[in-house]
Amino acid sequence: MIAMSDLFRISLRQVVRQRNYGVVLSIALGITAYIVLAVLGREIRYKIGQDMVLMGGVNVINVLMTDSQYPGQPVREFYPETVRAIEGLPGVYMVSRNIRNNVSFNLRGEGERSLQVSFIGVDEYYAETFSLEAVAGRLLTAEDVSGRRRVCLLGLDAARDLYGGAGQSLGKFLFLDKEVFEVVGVITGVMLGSQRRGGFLPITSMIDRNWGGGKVTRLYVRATGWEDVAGLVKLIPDVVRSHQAAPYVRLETQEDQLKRIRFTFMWVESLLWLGIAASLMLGGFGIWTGTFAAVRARTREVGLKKAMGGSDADILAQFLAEALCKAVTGGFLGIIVGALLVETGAALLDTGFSYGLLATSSLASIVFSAVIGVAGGLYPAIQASRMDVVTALRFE
Amino acid sequence: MPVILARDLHKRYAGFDPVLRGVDMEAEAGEMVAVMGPSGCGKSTMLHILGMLHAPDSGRLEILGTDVFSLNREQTAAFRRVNMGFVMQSSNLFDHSTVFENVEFPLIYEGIPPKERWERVIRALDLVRLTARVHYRSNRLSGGEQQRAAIARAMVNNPRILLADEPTGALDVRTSSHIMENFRALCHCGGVCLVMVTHDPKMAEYCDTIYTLEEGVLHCRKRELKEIAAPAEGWESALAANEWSGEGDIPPVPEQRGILGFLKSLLLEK
Ligand SMILES: Nc1ncnc2c1ncn2[C@@H]1O[C@H](COP(=O)(O)OP(=O)(O)O)[C@@H](O)[C@H]1O
Ligand SMILES: [Mg+2]
Repeated sequence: MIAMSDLFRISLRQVVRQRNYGVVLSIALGITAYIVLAVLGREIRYKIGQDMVLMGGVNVINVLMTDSQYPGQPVREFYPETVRAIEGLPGVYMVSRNIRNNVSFNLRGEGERSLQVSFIGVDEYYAETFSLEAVAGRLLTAEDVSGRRRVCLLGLDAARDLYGGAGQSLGKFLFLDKEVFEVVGVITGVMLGSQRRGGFLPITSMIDRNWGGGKVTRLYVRATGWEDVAGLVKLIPDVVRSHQAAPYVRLETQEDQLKRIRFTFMWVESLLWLGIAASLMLGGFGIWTGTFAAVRARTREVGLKKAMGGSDADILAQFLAEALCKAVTGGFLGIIVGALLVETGAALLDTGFSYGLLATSSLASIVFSAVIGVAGGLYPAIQASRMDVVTALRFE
Repeated sequence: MPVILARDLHKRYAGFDPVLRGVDMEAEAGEMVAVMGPSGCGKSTMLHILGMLHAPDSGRLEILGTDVFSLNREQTAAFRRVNMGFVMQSSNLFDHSTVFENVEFPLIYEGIPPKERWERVIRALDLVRLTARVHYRSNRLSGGEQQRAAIARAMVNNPRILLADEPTGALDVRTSSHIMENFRALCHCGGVCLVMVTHDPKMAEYCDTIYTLEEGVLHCRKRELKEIAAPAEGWESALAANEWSGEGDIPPVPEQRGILGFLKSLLLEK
């Protein structure tokens, strides 16, 4: 039996000299796509998902106490323990407390402007839960909330209507029910909606004054990803009830949007995997036909080698090794390109990636491509090894 | 003891008339045997049977004292690897390969370590005066050079038997006689037994024994056996003693071992 070192040296030489790179490239393509998807898939999905998902507010779950709709019921609020328990659930990114009912004040603006502005009570997590940003000043801080301070935020439209711009409204004092509140920031964001015309007070400040009922009657639960929403919707009511009485707790999600996004993602993802599978299959098929073609084109060579004493196993090993070399060369190429893409992709998406995952998927790729090489090359190689010597020698 | 002893070989292809109807042949070490006959009379078939590439329908064949038809596929390949060399009419060399890579191949099958291969390849090429072409791609050689490279490849394993199927069939007279000189040196000085199929009487004249294949039976035309002291070590030692040396300088061993050397050889050779 031919020595392994010779076998692979000769096979590699053949592969290089035949210049049959189509097969190598197609396998490389498949492996590249596989590596990128395997290593960065989660991050890509999250990143692409985030914009899409947040615009629809799809991964925010509203948890409401609806007691007020039932006559005779006491109005219940969410206890801090309940909030902490929800925060501890897997898949929960953050929980923001909110007072469902708003409170309206007639405000005096610049000049003779006057405006009815409705305020809601929020905490320091509100802005991040809805991906809001401060266009001027700052967001509410934990100190604002725990210190029960007399500060407030304005929506961008409210700030413009009252003072003609975001910057101008900073530091202004608002008279709310004869008390003075300082405007410390102006916020905006896609998900803010009509509340852009409103204002925001620390929940504690509202509770102290019994504004809007003075109770935390709503939680905004932001899930880490949209995939987590369904599971959380099932879990949250039980978690709430295990910490407090909450007979009329209700959950609201963007069911339709969620469905649509789930559907879109399923399609995108299955198309991607289909592409990978197709390109790998193309490579395998290329190896299959390529090896067949090689066997046919080199029938005479097979005859000559058998005549000089090459055994069936030698011939089999040679064609198989060539197929394997092509496939694994493609695999290595794919890994290199894939790793580079992962690096740049991670930099572009501004996320990290797991080197362990890269290593395992590279290993899997090598195994993959070897399997493709063997699977594609085995049958033609067996055919070659079984070939009758004289038939092969008489072949021109 | 004859090197080749064939008795009553019969062969017919299914659905056709018999091609061989009782071939008897004996050949000694150092003997040059020519088999002549018109095209299609079964010369190649006979040679293939002698080379164990084909099984006959009946008959007995002993090579170097071994009843070769009792061997299985694997053993047959091994026997061929050690004892036989083949030269075909044309297209003998592997595509995409240099002369060195071609001649090296039987050594690879035999498991000769890479270090020893260069010298043996060069010595085999020296035999056919082709050392200067050692790094040529096979498709850049002339027809005669290709046949000489094929002879070198057939001889590199130091076989006792050389089977040639019209080795000069595609060559001009001058080149043909040059090749016949090569064969004669091998046989008469190296003790190699050559069985050569040809339909060219001039080439047959170089041989000690001439058979014609007619109606599926061998007829002996001439047999002048010379006394040959066949050296046990084969042609190499005999030829070395006989100062039969190639022309031109023997190229030094190219140090192409190792990964770098291999990569270099991949890139440089066109
Ligand atoms: N595989 C085969 N099947 C049937 N007939 C064959 C086969 N191979 C060769 N023959 C026939 O056997 C005869 C002898 O062929 P061959 O040995 O090649 O003759 P030669 O070498 O003397 O020209 C020819 O008539 C040829 O057509
Ligand atoms: Mg013939």
